[in-house]
Amino acid sequence: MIRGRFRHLAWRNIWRNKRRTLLTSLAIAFGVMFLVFIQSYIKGVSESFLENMVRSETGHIRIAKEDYLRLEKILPKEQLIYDFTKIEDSIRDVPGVDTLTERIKFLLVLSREEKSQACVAVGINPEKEKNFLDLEKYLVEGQYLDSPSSPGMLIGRKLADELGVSIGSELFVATTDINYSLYALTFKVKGIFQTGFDKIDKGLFYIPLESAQTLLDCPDAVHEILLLLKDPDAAIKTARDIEKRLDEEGHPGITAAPWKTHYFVKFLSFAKSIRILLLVIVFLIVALVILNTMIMSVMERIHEIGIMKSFGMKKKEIRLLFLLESFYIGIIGSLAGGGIGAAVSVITQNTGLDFSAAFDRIKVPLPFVSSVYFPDFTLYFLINSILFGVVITLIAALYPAVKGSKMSPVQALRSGLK
Amino acid sequence: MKNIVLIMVFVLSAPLSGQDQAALTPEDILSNVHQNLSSSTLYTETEMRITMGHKTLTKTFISFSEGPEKSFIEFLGPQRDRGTKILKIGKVLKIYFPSAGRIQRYSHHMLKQRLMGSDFSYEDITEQSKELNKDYTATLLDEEEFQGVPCFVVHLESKDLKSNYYTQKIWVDKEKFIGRKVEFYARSGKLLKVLTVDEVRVIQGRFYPVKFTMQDKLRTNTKTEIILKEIRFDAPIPEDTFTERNLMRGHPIRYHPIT
Repeated sequence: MIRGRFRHLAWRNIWRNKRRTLLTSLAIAFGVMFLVFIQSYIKGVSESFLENMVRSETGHIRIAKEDYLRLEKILPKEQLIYDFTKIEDSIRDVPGVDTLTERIKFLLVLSREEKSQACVAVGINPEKEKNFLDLEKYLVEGQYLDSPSSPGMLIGRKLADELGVSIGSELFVATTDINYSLYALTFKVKGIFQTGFDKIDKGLFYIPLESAQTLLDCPDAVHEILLLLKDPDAAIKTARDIEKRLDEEGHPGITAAPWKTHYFVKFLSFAKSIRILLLVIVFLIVALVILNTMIMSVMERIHEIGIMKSFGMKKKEIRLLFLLESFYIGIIGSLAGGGIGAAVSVITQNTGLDFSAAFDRIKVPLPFVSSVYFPDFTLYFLINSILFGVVITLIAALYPAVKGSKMSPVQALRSGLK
Repeated sequence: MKNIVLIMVFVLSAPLSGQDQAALTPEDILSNVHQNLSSSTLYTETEMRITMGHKTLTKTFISFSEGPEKSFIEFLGPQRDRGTKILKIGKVLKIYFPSAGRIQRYSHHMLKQRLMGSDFSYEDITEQSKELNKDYTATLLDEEEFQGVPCFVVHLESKDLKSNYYTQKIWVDKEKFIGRKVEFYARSGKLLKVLTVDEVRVIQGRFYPVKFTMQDKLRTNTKTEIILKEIRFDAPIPEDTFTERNLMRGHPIRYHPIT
């Protein structure tokens, strides 16, 4: 009964001074909104790194010659897997393997008229590649490659601009093959893609696998076989199973590298501790903002405590009243902030946040860094942020409420009058 | 090709006509060598054997050159290389790719690249050796035997700071005025390449290195041997040889020696 009265009183109290209540809940809302968004954003960024890496470079498992992986930075052309179809057939039914594709990759200088640009040529099987880096999804102009044998080319927006090519332009691709003969083919630009992923948009172009094999003079050979697994976390074990099978079937010198051993994953696990630290700092800042605002707004009302005390209210009742008020404000602010934060996260989750203007100033293509990010919102972020907002608000109210309730009515009245 | 030959040269040269060897300055040595190497035109048929570890690739080509600026190379084999042609005029390199049916023009950066995986760069193969006395300052370091042949050891320092091979050390055959060995160094003093002459013959009245080996010291386990199967000095060069039209032509122009 008494509690009910207090709830009623508290609710009326907070609307007595609307401006103060509004400002306080606004501070809380802002803090909580920020928490929801920043958590979604950080999750989105780190997952995009991994997703990009897996789809564009490592798969969940990558099968290649040991020396190819060791010397990967220079992409040694001659480190080829011959009879790759045989290998693919034999590993397709290894438990856990979902889908696979194969690629040829080599460095060359692409030139057109007086312009030239060093880049990486990637020979792909267009159909199988859709399960990996689905370039069709990223096409901004033109069409995807039809088949492994039709001699078209997909090129990144930035590389296309650099060389001044558009759909239908012919590009001359010259290289030394695996026997050091000079060889060249001409490709028509069929599609221009934009992944928002600098390393790909600036530095790579895609041609059908068979054309790449013709250029390098290595029919029936590829550099890499990439696998996606049903469970990415099983990569290390599955890689071991595959190596065992390859060994049994007599394919020496070929390695199955799980994505988790890639240097970038190691870097990311280091980045994880930084990420946690960052989140702790953000939570602390939000806590300080809420604490500060709340304490100020309760301290402002200490003289009210004096009045209540002189009316005969007990310490406990006063504390309860103030905590209830803070709780209401905390709930209002946190729910509003959480709602807005969730909405912003979900909207940007679909549209993405484009940082390309900022990234354009960085001339070096960063590995797996995209210039567009998609936050990844989960309910957990909403719940923890709202709880955090409410709890911090309560804690903030506790100090002045306890302090005020301990004062004598006269003291409280005086301090409030200052 | 001519250049290489020139470089090698240091090699050869006309028999000393009674000059007093003791009185020879390093400049004299160089100029003797140059005189012996220089010809108004040069035609060669070459076999190039590139060895990388256990793998050996053999490529054959013919080449024409005229003066220090112009040279033309056409590959005859293996099948994959057949019809690939390289034209160099001054610092401009043009390569004809038969597979694409087109000519690609390259800037001077390409000249420093390895020619078809060999230990020679495009420049090594196509660049004419100019008068060494003009481009280099020579010092006579020593006299010593190289593979049993008494040689002058001459040190060359380029007058051009940007030169590919800033210094060279050459062992010049005292009697034949042929370079038996050349070490090429970068400006930092790093050894880049070593050329050794494996066989010298008398051709059209001069000594000429017909077999030599280059080793790129920045790579491991590789060497490239050059065997000159046919050499003609001062022979007339077919018209249009140094033109784009010739790059596009279907069949190689082989030089038919005038007997």
